[in-house]
This record gives sequence, structure tokens and C-alpha cells, in this order.
Amino acid sequence: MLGQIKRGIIKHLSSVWFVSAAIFFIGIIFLPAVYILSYVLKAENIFTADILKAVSASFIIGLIVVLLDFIFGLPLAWILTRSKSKIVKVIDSLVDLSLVIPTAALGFSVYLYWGSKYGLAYLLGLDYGLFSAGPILIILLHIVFTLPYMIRSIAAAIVKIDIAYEQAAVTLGAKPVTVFRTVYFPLFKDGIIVGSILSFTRSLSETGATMMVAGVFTTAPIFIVGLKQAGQLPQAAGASIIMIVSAIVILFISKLFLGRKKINLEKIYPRAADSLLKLKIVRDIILGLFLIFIIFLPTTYLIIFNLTNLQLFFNSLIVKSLLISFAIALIVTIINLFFSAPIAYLIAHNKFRLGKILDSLNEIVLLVPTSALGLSLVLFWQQWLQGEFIILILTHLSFSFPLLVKPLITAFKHIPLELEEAAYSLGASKRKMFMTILLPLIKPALIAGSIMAFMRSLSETGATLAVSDQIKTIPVLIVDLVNQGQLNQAGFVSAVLFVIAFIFLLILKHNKFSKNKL
Amino acid sequence: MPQVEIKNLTKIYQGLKGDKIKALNHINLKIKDKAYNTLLGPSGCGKTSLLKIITGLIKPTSGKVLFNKKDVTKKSPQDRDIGFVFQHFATFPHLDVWHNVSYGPVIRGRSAEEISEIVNRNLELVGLAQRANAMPDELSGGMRQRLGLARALASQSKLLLLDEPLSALDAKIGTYIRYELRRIVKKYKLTAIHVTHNQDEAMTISDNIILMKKGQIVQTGSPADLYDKPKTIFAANFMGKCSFFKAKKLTDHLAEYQGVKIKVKQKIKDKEVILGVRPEKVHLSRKLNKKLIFGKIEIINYLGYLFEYRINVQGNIVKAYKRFKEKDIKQRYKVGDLVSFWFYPEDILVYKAPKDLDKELSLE
Repeated sequence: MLGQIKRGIIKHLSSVWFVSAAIFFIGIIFLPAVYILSYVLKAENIFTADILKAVSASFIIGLIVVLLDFIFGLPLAWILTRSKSKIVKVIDSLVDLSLVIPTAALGFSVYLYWGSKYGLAYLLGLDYGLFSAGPILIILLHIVFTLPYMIRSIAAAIVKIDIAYEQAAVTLGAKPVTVFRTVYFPLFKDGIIVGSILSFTRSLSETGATMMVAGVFTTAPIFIVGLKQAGQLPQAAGASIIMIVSAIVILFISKLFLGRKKINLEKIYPRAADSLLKLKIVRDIILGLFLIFIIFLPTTYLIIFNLTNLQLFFNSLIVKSLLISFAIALIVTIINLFFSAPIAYLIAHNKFRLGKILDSLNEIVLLVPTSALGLSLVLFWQQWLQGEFIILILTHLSFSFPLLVKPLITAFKHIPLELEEAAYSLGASKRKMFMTILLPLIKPALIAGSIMAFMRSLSETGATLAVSDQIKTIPVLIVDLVNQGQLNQAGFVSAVLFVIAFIFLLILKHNKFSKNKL
Repeated sequence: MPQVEIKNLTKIYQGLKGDKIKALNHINLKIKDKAYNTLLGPSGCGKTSLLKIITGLIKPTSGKVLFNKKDVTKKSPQDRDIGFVFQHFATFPHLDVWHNVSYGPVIRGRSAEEISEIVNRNLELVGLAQRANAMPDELSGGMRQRLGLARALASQSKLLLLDEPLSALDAKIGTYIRYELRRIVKKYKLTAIHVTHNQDEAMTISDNIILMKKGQIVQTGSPADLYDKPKTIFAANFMGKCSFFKAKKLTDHLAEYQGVKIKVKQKIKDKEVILGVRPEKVHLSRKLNKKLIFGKIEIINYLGYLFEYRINVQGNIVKAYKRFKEKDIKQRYKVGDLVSFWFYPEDILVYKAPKDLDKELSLE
């Protein structure tokens, strides 16, 4: 009798897993994230001129950043995927660095490099920073952490394109630039759109690093956090609603664009562009200089700074923040790991025709600025829950879950159906097949996604500031320290985050599946 | 030993625009036991759907699949006890050769000794014993398909299902593995069902060919049956080469084509008939007289062991094989030559004339 029950439980374990994952996703991740939209009905006068000013500043900065990302990202992506030189391979792995480095640490590094007398100014023999805090510094900062999204999205599209297309175009008489324009550009348009959306929304959403370089300038996330901390909830909610709605609008507009696959062949004018080719050497030098001075040096300047300031101190505040940040990131990653695979599977295989809906919900959460998300979550959970720590964990679950699900969807989609069928034909049940075939095959994506989610949780500032009054996570502490002018301490804490990011980056780079045993 | 039987099977797919596509239309079929069976037909004829329904990977819209007279239609593949070989190998990329083969026995919960014995025996059988530790992506296409075969055989099932197993391989390697497949099936007295669109492959490998078109079975029989006595124009055309003539009935054994009388052994039933002749049964000559059909040579294909001539007879292309000895080199035909030809009455296939001959011959 007991054995029967046990067998029954095991038999239905996977369905229980899938159903609970779906409930988790809707109830814990999605609904709380957009809960704030209901405030439109509750509050009055929530849209003020100040809000509109901050929001439009964020949008303009986002657009400029995307434009610059595109101009530099396209040729960089091209060189990184098509060049076989070893230096390029090294550069390739460095591109991802600013993806995993916590933005607060990154912001501090960028600030030191461009904005303080210890940075580029010091190298140039100046006594003051090159740029003072404000929009220009914000743009320079945002390029650093958004460019990898653009490069990776375009590179992914380039890699997918069959080299035979290029060969076909060449045999038909097209010169290289024409090949690029008439064959490649239309084919990786999707990559550009995806990269632009990621960069744009990331720029819209970033809070911690931006706070350090903004000075008196206000972007939407800074505005939301400021209002929340000042206790002006209705106005904070107003700004959040605008940001969430615009994220949803951006998502659906981009879906419309991505849906159209038709390529317009009428506009093939060869000649003109080909003359650009002659500038090849100049082009390479410009791109190289750009990478070194705009991306790498600002990113890593912190380490150079720290080597000259070796008085490292541990005060209890730093240790406490580190522990809290790691605890949250770890708990969040473990919970996410447990629920992400079933959701990704449902989306990838469009089970019960839920795929598209779940995918859209997942993307909405991914694109919503985290400060708006944080505010929404705090308003939602405060109704039932006490305790900042728990609400903080729920908040971090919300924004890191989609990051883990996304690569898993791709991984599931790349597994040929034949492999599943082969397992069934050899006597595997659905559960056995999932555990012995699918899970091992998505392991690299699972590891990559976990690291991204972990680092995101470790580095997130906007949502955390919107949620917590007492608890200070590491990035929040860094922002505080910088604002208090304690640059040495901020530098030390940031350096710790840098080292962690480096280690994770190395793991990411060597993350391929090794031999498995059953 | 499962006896496989298909009863009144229909499979309808939902098209993208809500239209319905009938992949299989009321199929009835008995698979020949302990024999090499081939499901042959052009792409889209429903052969792969039929195989996957026998496997249980897809469910039929209506009808039954019987194993040993028991209805297994609703059983999932893991409960059917089968071995399946895939077109694109489907070797598990994260498992090495040994663990790919042991997958089935491990899942079925066999003992460690049994597993090791089964795996080693099957790797030996397909000639991969030396590569037991290799990962699938280190193997060539031919080796990966041998691995796919060893893995299917390791399920210890007597029913082996193969979905176009040779079509992703180089022609030469594919031809070689044909003989391997047949040897193994015969050695272990297995029942094989092999899906292919390649007539040549079906002829060499099979005991029993099931020829399909548009979701229906056209003809079943040995390779010789299908080649020598094709029941339809489509079968005659698909099983090797054949030339067709639209002729009129004169008497029961005499037809007329372009004013020439042709003697036929088969009894002619209809007024309008199609006569079919295989190229090796067409006899060429330089003699031109009114009792013979003649035409102009348009294309010459040199096949090494013989010549294939394509002769234009008032727009109708007739294919003929001829062999020349070395000393007769000067008598070979050239493009543009006028030649006549004739056939023995027993070599002529007779069919009722269809409304549209091209449609009858088309592969789709």
C-alpha cells in the first residue's frame, strides 16, 4: 500500500514540478511585478511635470546610447566572429566582462576613469576630471555596460548565417561591402533589434552606477528611488507605471518588427559603399582605440586605482553587506534553478499553447526597469508580508528569473526532437528522458544562466533601494560610500565584486559539457 | 516475435491554414515476419508517418496497430519493445559510444553484467568496439549510424524500425551499410521495417517491398515482383526506368502505336491502353521500315557497362539500353541518328490509359 503511494508520487512528481513552476512564475514573478499598474485607478495626480522630465531624460539617454552601441557594435561583432586571430579571441572574452561586473562597481570605476582627477586626467597630467557628473558621464557609463548586449546579439545572428550565402553573393559578383549590406545586414536585422532592445531597456533601468555619475541630473530610476525614500509613494508609482507601460509597448512593437522576415531586394546599389573598404586600416585602428579607451580602461580602472591604495579595511558594515548580498544571491539562484527548467521547457515546446504567452510575460518582467519593479513588488508584498529580507528575496527572484529562463529556452529549442524520440524508443519514460537527455544537454545553459542571475542579484541597486530602508546590499553600500566621499572604502568593496565577476567569467568561458555517465 | 499488422489506419495532419492533410488513407498492411520489409515511396507519400505510428511516436487519427494480434495503438513507444534507427542518427551528444548503446538496457533495468555483455556484443557487431570511449561528434557519419544501429539492437527487440537510415550518408558508405544491415537482420532473424525513397536501396536490401503513393499502398511484394510485374503505371515508373506508349486496341493481343502493330502477350481489355517497356527490353536496329517504330537519338548516356539512348519518337522519349563490343566501335549510334526498335510480346506491360498520364507518373 505504502509502496503504491510512493510509486504514485514519483510517477506524478514531474507534473507536480511543472504545475508548481507555472504557479511560481505567475504568482511570484509576474503578477507582483506589474501589480503597480493597479495604482492608476487608486491614486490621483500621480503624473507631474518632474516625472515627465526625468522619464524623457532617461529615454533620450537610452536612444543616444543605443545609437552609439549600434555604430560601434556592428563592426566589432563582425570582427569578433569572423577574425581568426588570437588577439581577437582574447578581446572576445573581455567583451563579456562588463556584462557580469556589478554595475555599481562599474559605475565607480567609470567615474574614477573619466570624472575624477585620479583617472584619465592623471594620465594626461590634468588636475581635474575630464567630465563632471552629468548626462555625458551617464552616456559614457551606459555604453560600457550595454555594448556587450549589442555585440553579443549581433554576433549570435552572424554566427547563425551560413557562409554559403556569402559565397553565393561573391560568385554573383558582389563586392565585400555589398555582400555585407545586401546579404548580412537584412539577415541579422533581428540581432540588431534584439540588441537594441536589451541595450535600451538596460540603459532605462540602471540605477546604482548612474547615481554615482549623475550629480544633480535625474533619470527616471533615480527619480523613483528618491521619491520612494522621501515617502512620496503616489509620485513614485506614477513614474514606475510610465516605465512599466513603456517596457510593454517596446516589447510589442519589437515583436511586430521581428515577425516580418521579408527582405527588400530592390535597394541593391553596389558602388558607393565599396569605397569605404579602402579605409580598412584606419577603421581597425579607430575600433581598437575605442575598445581600449571607452570600454576596457574605464571598466578595469578600479583595479589600477586600488593597487595605489592598498589600505584595505574590513569594517563590520562591509562584512555585513557582503554576507547579506551573497545570501540573497545564493537563495535566489537556488530557487530560480529549481523552477526555471520547467518554465523554459513549456515555452520552448509551446506546450498547451502556453509558450507564446509565458514567453511574453517573461520578457515583460525582463524589460521592466528594476526600480519600478522593486516599487511594484514592495507595494504588492507589503499587504501580507513583514520583513525587508523576505521581500528583498522575492524582489530579486522577480528580476533574475527571466535571465535564467531565456538561455534555457534557447537551449531547449536547439535539442533535436529526434533525441527525445530516440530515448522513448529505447524504453525511457517522459521523466527518465527529461532527466537523462534534456537536463544534461541544457546543463551549460543552466550554469551560464545561474551565473548571470547570481551576478545580477549581487549587483542590482535600483530595485533594492526601492524595497529596503535598513538592509544594505553591497552595491547599495558602494553608492552610499561614493556619495559620502569615502572613495577608498568604495574602491575596496568594488574590487571584491570585480574579482568575483572575473572568476565567474572564467567559469562561463570554460562551460562546455564534459562526458556524462548515466 | 511481434507480428505487426496495420488495420484501416488514417492519419490527418492539421495544416497551417486550418486545412487538412491526409498523410495516410485507410491503410491495411501485414508486415512480413522475420523478413526485411521496406516502405518505399516518393517524399510525402506517408511512409515516415506510418513508421512513426508503428513506433508510437505519433498517434493515428483512426485505425489500429497490432503487435501479435494485440492492439498497441494507444501504447507509448517505451512500452512497445522496439529498436529504432533515425535518419540523422540521433546519437546522444553528451554520452560516449559505450553509454549511448547502454542507454536502453540501463533504462530497462538490466544487471550490470548483462548490460556490459549486450553493449560489447553489439559494438563488436557493428565494428565500433575500438571506439567505445569516443564521443559521437568524433565519429564519421557512417560510424554514427552504426552507433545508432548498435543502440537500437541493444534494446534486444526482435523488431527493428529504420527511418531513412542511409540517406544522410555518402552514397558509397550507404551502399556498404546496406549489406551490413541485411546481414545483421538475417543473422538474428529480426523483423525489419525500413523506410526509404531510394528504389535501388529497396531492391537490394528487401525481402518485401511496400510501395506507397499519396498515403496509400500501391503494391506489396518481392523486389522481383515489383520490377517485373508492376501493377500500375506509377509502380512501373518508380521501380526502375520505363518508357510508355499510348496505344489503341486492335484485338485481344494486338495494339497499334503510330500506325505500327505491336504484339502483346498480356490480354488487352480496354480500347485505349498504355504500353510500358523497360529500357533493357527495347531492341534497337538501324533498319527502317513501316513495321517498326522509329525515332531520332537525342541524348546518349554512357554508363560504362552499356549505353543509354534517349530516342525522340514524335515528342515521346523512349529509353533503350544497348551494349557494344570493342570491335563494333564504329557501329555505335550518334546523336541525330535515326533508329528503329522492337520488343518481345512478353516484355510489354499493359495498363488502362489514365486521364492524365503525367499526373499518374508524378511523384507528388
